[in-house]
Formats: sequence, structure tokens, C-alpha cells
Amino acid sequence: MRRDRSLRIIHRTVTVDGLRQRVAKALTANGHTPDDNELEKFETWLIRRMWNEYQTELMDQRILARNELNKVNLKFPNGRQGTPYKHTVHVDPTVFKCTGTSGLSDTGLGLVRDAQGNLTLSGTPKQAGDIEVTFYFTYPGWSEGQKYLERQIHIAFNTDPDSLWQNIPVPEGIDYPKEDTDMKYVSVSVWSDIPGGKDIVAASRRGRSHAHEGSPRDDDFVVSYLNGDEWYVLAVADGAGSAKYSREGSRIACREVETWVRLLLSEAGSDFTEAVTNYNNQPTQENAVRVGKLLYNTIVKAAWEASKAIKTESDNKAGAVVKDYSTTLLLAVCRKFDFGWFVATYWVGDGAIGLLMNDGTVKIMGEPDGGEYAGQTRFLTMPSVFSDRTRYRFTIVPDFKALVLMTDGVSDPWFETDANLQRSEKWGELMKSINDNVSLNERKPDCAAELLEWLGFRSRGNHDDRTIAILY
Amino acid sequence: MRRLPVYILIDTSGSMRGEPIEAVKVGLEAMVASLRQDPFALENAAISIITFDKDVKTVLPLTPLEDVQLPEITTPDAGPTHTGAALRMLCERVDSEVRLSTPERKGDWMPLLFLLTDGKPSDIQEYNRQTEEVKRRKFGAVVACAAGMKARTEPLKQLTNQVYMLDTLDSNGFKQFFKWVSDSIGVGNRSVGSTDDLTLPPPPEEVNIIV
Repeated sequence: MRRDRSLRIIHRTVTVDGLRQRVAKALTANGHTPDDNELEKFETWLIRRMWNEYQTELMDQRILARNELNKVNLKFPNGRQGTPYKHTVHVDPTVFKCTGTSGLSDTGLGLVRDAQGNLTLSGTPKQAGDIEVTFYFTYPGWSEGQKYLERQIHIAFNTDPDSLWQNIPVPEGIDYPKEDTDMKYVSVSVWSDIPGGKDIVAASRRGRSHAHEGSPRDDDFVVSYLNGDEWYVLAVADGAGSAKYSREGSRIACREVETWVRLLLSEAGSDFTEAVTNYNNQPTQENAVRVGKLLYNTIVKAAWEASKAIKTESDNKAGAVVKDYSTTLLLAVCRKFDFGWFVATYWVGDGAIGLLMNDGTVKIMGEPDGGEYAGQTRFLTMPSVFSDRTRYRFTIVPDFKALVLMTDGVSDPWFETDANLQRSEKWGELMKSINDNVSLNERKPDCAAELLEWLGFRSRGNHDDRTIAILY
Repeated sequence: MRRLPVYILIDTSGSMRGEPIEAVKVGLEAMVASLRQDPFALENAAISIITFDKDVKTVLPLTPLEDVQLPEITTPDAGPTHTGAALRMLCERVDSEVRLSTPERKGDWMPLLFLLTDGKPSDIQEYNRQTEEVKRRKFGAVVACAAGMKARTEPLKQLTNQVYMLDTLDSNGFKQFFKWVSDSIGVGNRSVGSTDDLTLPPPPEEVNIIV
């Protein structure tokens, strides 16, 4: 270093002396011979002036460089606390050479630079929150001793959302209390006389979104089998999250629809059997219409009675309107005949009813009611749903693997779109996950608890109440 | 993935320069920080910020909350407040960014709109036209906040019946306002199944409700 500086001084002296001689020569040629004093004054004046200009130019260079540097893409995405983070940006090292950073200590992150100008921030963020990192750069025209240029960036490290969910108990003493979970196993195959009889397993649990704010479960279900008339009845209902008594709406919907459908089916009795048998023998339009009429007077009427029961409840409740009890309702009735299984459904709202066949195909027993936006659907409590005559469906199949009813808390994470609902491979994935966790084949009441446990699966953005009922 | 789109329109006209805009920035930062502690918001909310003075700028296009890095917000020295032009920009962005349900795709939640101004629209004709356009689009909630003594509430009432007033343009007031915005975002997420306007949480005490 020392040698370097002395060399530079000598060099400047020589140059300046050369300059002084040249100035003297030029002036003499013009008829003025300057003395040493004049020459020295001139030289001082010249150096000061040029030095100032030089400094200004350096400053301008720095400003230009800073403007350029501010245009360089130095964007680091946000990350997540506890999850390894790595991101590289490239800054041309022939223009801006990074000399280091500040603001990274104790963050769990470090900077790695290479000769090609790659700047990599990597490590595992220790804490959630924002960090401010300053990068230092040299720039064209920069020389030792001058300040570096700086660029500040902000990176946010998010908390893992899974760790933010709280499980707050429902406050005591609320209207219409409801257990956070419910489950039921209906054993038929072991006890009944029906060859190839089927069992029902059902479970329902409060969603994380409800647990997080200490609100009760709004879903409900009912599943039953009656030995006398051999009808299976399954219903699931999803009370609207925005309606204050929807948990009671879904409860009434399930209980009432079950009571009424059993009553009406037993009243229809032999008429029903005859109509279904005729249709099976001769699947003509006329025979189909007869079954349809009977269905209208049984399952649709039962749904209508359920909606009336909700209306009555809201009338009797001070300060309540029927909208406060908004709920969806998915109903299925099923019975084995000599020639096969008769399955009929009634469907208001979102969720899904699928009939899974032994060959892996699936029949979707209706259409979910969706809107343009997420969360828009239709409810049993809307009078207009009963002017809609396409809400009920029936089919006769030799046999099937499973009849599955679920609220949107289950169908959203597994199917997401209406189009996917039609895809048998999506149903295959759902049933595989259930079979991996629930020992359905053992046909034991324990299956209900296993199904309830399975309902706790994680799915980002899907934290609604979940209810599923399976006849298999 | 269903998103909850949240549009925040901020008046950056000359009168906001200095302390008011700094207070807004502090409020925005606090809002984002608090939303990041809400698991609903963290998984679903997407935020867009549009500023308006004589120019309208989308300083933050609709971005998932997780990825949000707050942009620079600048104010000119003086000039008009083009609230109408801002609403036009808003409608364009909503049309192109907010996803509706199709058989193959799950739609977003209904978007929320928060508008903050300290004056009145200078482009009143455009403003009148655009308030109709906004109404034609289905927002889950539209909340307008008139901040400071010079803010006019009448034009805002044309846009929404949820107009609130902040007496002062200080950071405490804005913080309360944005706290309320973030509370509403939580509610918006949870309002499953409804086709109606969502029920907003009660406004903070610093905010006066205009009837």
C-alpha cells in the first residue's frame, strides 16, 4: 500500500511539473512570460477547480449508479417460519458487486455470493414476522474508501397456518347446543335376513373454522334401517355458517325428514313395491312417471314437511326468522328388492351423493347447487326450492359398493369442482383414503369412531364442518 | 383454491401528503401483520391495493396474503382526486382477477371493497357512472371511510350504505380502521353458504357511523 501511494505522488508531481512547463511555454509564445509565483497560483487554481469538478462527477456517477441499482430486480419472496427457505437473485457483478448484507443475524438465514453475481439467501427462518435486509454494492466508478450503495428489502415469514388454529369450546348456555361430534353405526348385514344386507356408518365433526371461534357444529345427519319395512334412510345436512340457528335447522331437517319419509313410505307400502317392480320389468316412460309420482309424495313431501317444521320452530322462537335456520339437505332412501337395489335421493344445496358401483364407476344422484362465487348455494328453507321438480332421482341397480352422502366440508376438499364430482378416479381416491383408515370390511361398530377420526384430515382452505354417511 | 379477494382503495391526493399517508402506511402494515396471525386469512385472503389521486395506480395487484410485500405509496404535491377513475380501475381488475365458479373451477369468495378518502371525487360524472358499475358486480361488502373534516360522505353513500367517518387523519384512527378491515376479512371467510351481504363486525369506537 505504502509503496503504491508514493508511486502515485511521484507520478502526479511529474505530471504537474510537465504541466507547469507546458503552460509557461504556451504563455511565453503568446508574449507573456510568467514567473514562478504566477505559475504556482495558476496551478493551485486549476487543481482546485478540476478537483471540484471531479468530485461532482463522482457524485453524479454515484447518483446514476444508485438509480440504476434501484432498477435491479432484487425481489425475494416471502417464506414460512421453520420451513427451509432458499432464493437466488442475479445481479451483474461487472456493474454491481455485492459486498455483503446486514440484518440477517439471528434470523436463521445467510447470504451466499458467487463470482457470477448470484446472491442466495438460504436457511430456516427462526421467527415469524418481517425482516429488513440491507445489501451493499460497489458500482462503476467506485473506489476504495467510498461508501457502498445500499438496497433494502423486506421479507415476511409467515406462521404455519396449521399452528394458528385454536380449539375453543362452545360457550355454555347457548340456544340449541350441539355436541362437537356425532357418529353412528347401523349393523344390518350380520343380523338381518336380507342376503347381502348392507350396513351404514356415519360421522360428523365440528370444523376447524368453527372450533377457532368457539362456534358450534352446524352439520347434522341421520341414518337408520327399519326391520319391518326394510328401508334404509340416510340424510346429511349443512347449516349455513352465516345463519345463527342453522345448527338447529340442520338437526330439524334430518330428524323430521327421517320421521316423515318413514311414515310416507310405509303408507305407500305395496303401491311403491308394485310401481318399482313394474318399472324394473318394463322401464317405460309411463312406469317411470308412476315411480316419480310416488317419490314426489314420499321423499319430496318429507323434505317439504321438514322445511315446514323449521318454519314452525322459527315462528315460536322470539326474534328469529326462518333464514336463521338455513340448511342444506341431502336425503337418500334405499331398499333391496328381489331384482336389485332401489335407490332414491332428494338434494338441496351443496355437498354430494354418489352411488359407487362394483366396477368402480359412479352415479351422481343429483346436482349440487352452486353459485358464481364460493359459498353460494340453496337452502331447504327457501320456498323456491320446492318449485324445482328436478331435485329427486332414482335408480335400480343389481348391486353397488357404496352409497355415499357428504356435506361440502368433505366434498370440497376431495372434489373441489362439479366436474371432478363426475370423475370416478376422484371417488376412487376418496374411498381409498377412507378404506386406508377405516376397517369397513370388518363391519364393526368401531368403524364409526375410525370414520370420525378420518374426518379430521388436513386440507388447506377447507375447514368447514364435515359429515359423511356411507351405506355399504 | 378459493380466495377471498380484498380490494383496498386509498386516496393519495395532495391533501393526504405527509402525516396522513404515513399513518395509512402504518395502518396497512399493522393490518397485514395481524392478518398473518389469522389462519383463515393466511390460507384464503388475497389483497390488492389501488391508490388514486390525479392518477390511478394498482400498486399491489391481487396477491395472496402469504406473498404480500407492501408496495411504496407516494402522494403528489397537489391535484384532483379521481375517485371515479379508481372505481373504473377496480371494476376492470375485479373482472379480470376474481374467478367465478365453472364446472371445472371453484369460484372465489365474493370480493370485499374498502375505500378510504379524505375529500370528494373530482371526476363526479365518472364517479356516478362507476358507482353503478360497482353495484353491478357482487361484492360481499363495500365499506367506505371518510377520513378527516374535509371528507364528504354524501358521494360515498351513493356507493354503499356502509359509510363511516374518522374525525382525524392520525395513525390511531387508521389503525382502528384497518383493524376493522382485517376483522371483516375473517368474517368474510367464514360466511359460508350465504348469498347475502355479510355481517360486518361492529366498527371501532373511533369510527362514526353515518346513517
